[in-house]
Amino acid sequence: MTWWCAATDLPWTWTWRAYPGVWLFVAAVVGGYAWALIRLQPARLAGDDQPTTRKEIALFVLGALTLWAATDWPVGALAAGYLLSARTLQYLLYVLVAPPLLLLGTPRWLLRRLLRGRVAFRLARVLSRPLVPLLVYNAVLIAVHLPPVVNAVAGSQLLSFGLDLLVIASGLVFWWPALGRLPELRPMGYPGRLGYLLLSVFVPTVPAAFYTYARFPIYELYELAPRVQRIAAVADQQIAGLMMKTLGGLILFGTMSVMFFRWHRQEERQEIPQKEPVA
Amino acid sequence: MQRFLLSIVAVLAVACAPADRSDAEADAGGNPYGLRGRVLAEALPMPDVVFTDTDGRAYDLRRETDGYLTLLFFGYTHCPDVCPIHMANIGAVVRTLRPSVAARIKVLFVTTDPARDTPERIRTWLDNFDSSFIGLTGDTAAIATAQRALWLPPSQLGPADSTGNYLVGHAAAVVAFTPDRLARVMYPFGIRQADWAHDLPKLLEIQWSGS
Repeated sequence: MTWWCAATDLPWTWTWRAYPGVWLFVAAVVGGYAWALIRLQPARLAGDDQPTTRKEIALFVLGALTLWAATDWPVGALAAGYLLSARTLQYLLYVLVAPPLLLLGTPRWLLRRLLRGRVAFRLARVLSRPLVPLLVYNAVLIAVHLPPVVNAVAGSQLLSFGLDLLVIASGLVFWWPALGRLPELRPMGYPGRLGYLLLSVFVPTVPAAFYTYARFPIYELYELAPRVQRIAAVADQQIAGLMMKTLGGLILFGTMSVMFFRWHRQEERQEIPQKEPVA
Repeated sequence: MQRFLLSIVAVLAVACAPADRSDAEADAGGNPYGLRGRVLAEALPMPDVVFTDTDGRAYDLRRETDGYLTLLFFGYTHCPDVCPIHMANIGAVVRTLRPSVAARIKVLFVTTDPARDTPERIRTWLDNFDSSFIGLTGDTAAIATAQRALWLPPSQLGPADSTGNYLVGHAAAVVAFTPDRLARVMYPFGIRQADWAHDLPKLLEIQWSGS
């Protein structure tokens, strides 16, 4: 029984394979969320807490489905030992798609409940400033793309599981200050968030450039893996580089555009009372 | 911040660069020429065998390879892993070599599964990697003779599955013959494109001592 996707020497086939560990993981995420909504929601909400909305539930479920799609067959299996492009897609889903959906899908009252402890609150406050999340996100990005790490983790289900969790956690840390969910943590304003996201665009372009322009395959794992649909190792690497550059950039710049318009709307709302004539 | 970004670039530059073992490192492994492949203690002559190429013509190994750097590999087109990876990697590197170097290299693929590998099938399969690759077939005795001459284990047919498909056990090494038709270096499975790119021009340049 294979619990988690890890590299094997088997030729790739499009025959479905079960990874029960992935199902348990996704079930734990969704189950924990459902349990929290049912059991933890207080009868009377304080401050700016709002009851959980359908939109929040939908966003969280979408985030969990994204995690599932990125981890399970076929993306997870292809990423683990066959195609660098699949690994890049998985990475982007893990850090740029699933975490913001999960964070936006978690109602404020639940976040406050989770951060009730002093240590948790302090940690959340530190992570609301841009420097630490940026360092953590980029350190993990570099570490998980180092060839020795990729090759060392490849055959082990446990290490692959650990690395996947680390990447997802880095995604949550990265999005925490950008989304600024809790006002009491004094999150950055829109200009700060835009600058933060802009800064985070640059580092991923480094591995992307290596993928795109390297003459030969960088990772032994993907170079010596059985081929999938006759995609050459260098072509696969170039696809991965383009994905990292374009898809990652699109998501970040897309988010920045939304934030910019929200900022603009907020400014407009603040200006309206000043334009009214004084009676 | 600029210094931070530069240091990240530097770390990635070192880490993401393809494995580039130095010549000194290769020498330390008992390799006097700084090659990435395994240099044979004793050079072996090109097997004196005549195969049939994918056009149906007789292909005398000794005569046809004289003066060329020849990479000889025994495999089969239904192979799920080793054969396509070796061929793909060699093909990818040959295309990056200077034309004057590439023109002096011949890549020979000898089937270990002549029952299924028709000349047409071999040609179609090899064209996926490089149309200059030469596909060869012959009777099992001739193939076994060539393998024995190079001290390679004879290929063995595995049991057929329910669909009639079977695997063929065969040596995973590519044998490199220098232009004097002597096998000098073996390249086991695991050899990478960067290694081929490093060794192929060198194999043509080295003045080999002894034969």
